[in-house]
Amino acid sequence: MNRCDEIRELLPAFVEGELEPRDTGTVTAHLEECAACRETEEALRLIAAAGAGLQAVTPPEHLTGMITATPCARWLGLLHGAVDRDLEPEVLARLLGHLESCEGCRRAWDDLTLIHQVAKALVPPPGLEHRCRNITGLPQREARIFGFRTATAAAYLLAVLTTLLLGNPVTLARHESGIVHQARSVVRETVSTVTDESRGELRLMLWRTWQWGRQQAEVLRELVAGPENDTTPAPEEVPDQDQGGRE
Amino acid sequence: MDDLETTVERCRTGDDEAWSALVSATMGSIYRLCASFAPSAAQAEELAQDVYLKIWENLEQYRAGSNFMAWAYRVARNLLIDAHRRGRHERNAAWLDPEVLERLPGSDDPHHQTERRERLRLVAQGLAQIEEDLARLVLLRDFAGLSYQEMAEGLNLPLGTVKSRLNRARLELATAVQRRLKIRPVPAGTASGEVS
Repeated sequence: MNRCDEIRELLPAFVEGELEPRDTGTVTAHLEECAACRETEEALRLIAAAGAGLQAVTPPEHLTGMITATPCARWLGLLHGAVDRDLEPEVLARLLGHLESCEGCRRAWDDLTLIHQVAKALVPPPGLEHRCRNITGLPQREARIFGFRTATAAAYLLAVLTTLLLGNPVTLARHESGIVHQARSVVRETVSTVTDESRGELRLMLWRTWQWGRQQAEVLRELVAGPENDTTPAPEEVPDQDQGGRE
Repeated sequence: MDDLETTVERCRTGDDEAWSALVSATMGSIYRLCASFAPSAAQAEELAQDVYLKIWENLEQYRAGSNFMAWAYRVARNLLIDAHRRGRHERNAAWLDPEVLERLPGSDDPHHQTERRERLRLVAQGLAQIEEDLARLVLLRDFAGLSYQEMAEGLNLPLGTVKSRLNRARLELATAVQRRLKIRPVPAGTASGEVS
């Protein structure tokens, strides 16, 4: 701690006039030769003067009246506390003493207790919540296995792993390095092999599907034509029946 | 002090006259406390009403021999801290409000009034730059006028701790004010802080 730091520590007490005479002399001597400490002293005096000025402020004349004019308004807070059973026994005794002598507060007490009882009775009947849920058609809330946070964390992890194993994807894409070329050719070869192999199979599948379709069409035609002794009306007869029904 | 204790005792029995007497006796100090912490003159009045309600509701907790202002600060501490935070957030203080300044002695002199306003504005700007806890210490001592003993009791701290923290708070505030003064230099011969 240098000399200025030591003096600075004493300055607030010096400004307040609370220093020992010996320290006062030391500080005064230092201030005469140190401009930086003098500036601090001036700032401290400014603060002291600002505060001292305000200490002379007088309260507005109407304020005392506002606080004392409506005594029953003060009791209201205690009434609420009493209804909530949140009062110390001594405070409750003070309140009860006042209630004995004040009809207005007694009425307020009655109203408050009534409101309190009504509020207590206002509980939803059993099953209402379930019914409300069904009315809105909203499905019951299910526990999620993977939340949004888990998914985000997984995505970040994947991105980090990709970057660590392969390098920065953006850099790799910009500067087509050997790895990218290699990967691209491997992917291209694999895709073309798979395409060639699957092309023949696809043709075969299409031919089989067409054959199966033809067979099904034959079966359907036979069913529609029906055997000779079948009593089911032919499709041509249906419109006549309909006409008879309307008549 | 004995009178105050008797008055408090009578208040506990629900004596409205005693309550009026207690309010009258302590209004000056409580209002200064509220005006030190509130963001505006109107809010200082509201705060004073809330503080008195808190005092009234907690009268049973007041112990004979305790310092009334220290006890009042303890009871209404949260209200005062909330008001102070609002003031810091709004960058405002009741003691910069013209309504409060007009009630200060010497407010008839325009020169004196300007000087005082500038001084208070500099301090307000400085207080906004230091830690909230330290700013509150300065407000309690230098603005609300609480004694070291009252502060120690109100803050539930040893007297030495209060003094050392207040020392630090004042020095930090002085540094912040000095910085402001360098931005807006004070004319020569007005060490008290007059800024044109």
